[in-house]
Amino acid sequence: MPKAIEDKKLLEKIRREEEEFREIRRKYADWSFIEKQPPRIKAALKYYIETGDIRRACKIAGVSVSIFRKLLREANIPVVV
Amino acid sequence: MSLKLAISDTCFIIDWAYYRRRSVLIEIFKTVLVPEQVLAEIEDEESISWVSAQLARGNMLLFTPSPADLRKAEKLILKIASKPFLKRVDLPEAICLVIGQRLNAIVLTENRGALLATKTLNDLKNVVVWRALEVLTEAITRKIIRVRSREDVERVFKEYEDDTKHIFPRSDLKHAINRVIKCLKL
Repeated sequence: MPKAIEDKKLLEKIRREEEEFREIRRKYADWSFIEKQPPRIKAALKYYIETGDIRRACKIAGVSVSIFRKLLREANIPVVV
Repeated sequence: MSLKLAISDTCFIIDWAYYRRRSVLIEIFKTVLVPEQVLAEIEDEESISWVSAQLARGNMLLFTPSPADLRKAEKLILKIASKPFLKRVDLPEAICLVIGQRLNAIVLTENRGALLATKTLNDLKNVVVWRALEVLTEAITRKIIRVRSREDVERVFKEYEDDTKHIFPRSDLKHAINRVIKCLKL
């Protein structure tokens, strides 16, 4: 199969997975817990749900990866990779 | 027989530390390298106490990347950032990919950016990346975790999801379960 077609298929697969993972994070999240958080934490949790990008989310929250991961567990937001 | 070497990034180890059978990692690999930049990010008690105990027992090894590793990691970060379809990686993951490639070590990560980079960049195609899904698959097929039936296999993956608040992509999970069942002839 030509490389350009293979690349296109791979990119389409990545795009579909991103959408699937975002939906899973949205579905499982404890939204009432999220809404009760201080502004930076709340914004960071929402950012994570949309992007799955833990490092940028940590910067928004102003906490380490390790501490943010605990927050994700408390907010029932799953990691999907 | 243990596989020789793995290198773990932060996202993998801070999840794995919460798993009830976390010791299987030590049975799979002879040594798990932990870069300084990864150790610096581990702050929660459960994870840091487990990792420091493994460092004390020699099951994990604190690894200081060379200046050349760091330069290569920085270049990799920029290269990945220049590809709009990839997710960004940061220094700890980039270091793991670079050292994994140099030392032929399996890279343990739950970072999607690192995972996608190895699938799409030609110069990383030889880097082997395992998520918890692949680690558990290895543990079951090598009978480090004992199973007798499909239900047992499914339970092992479910336990990990429950302990760590992790969800395996359903298609990958199905593939992993089928692979284990075929391999063990269950």
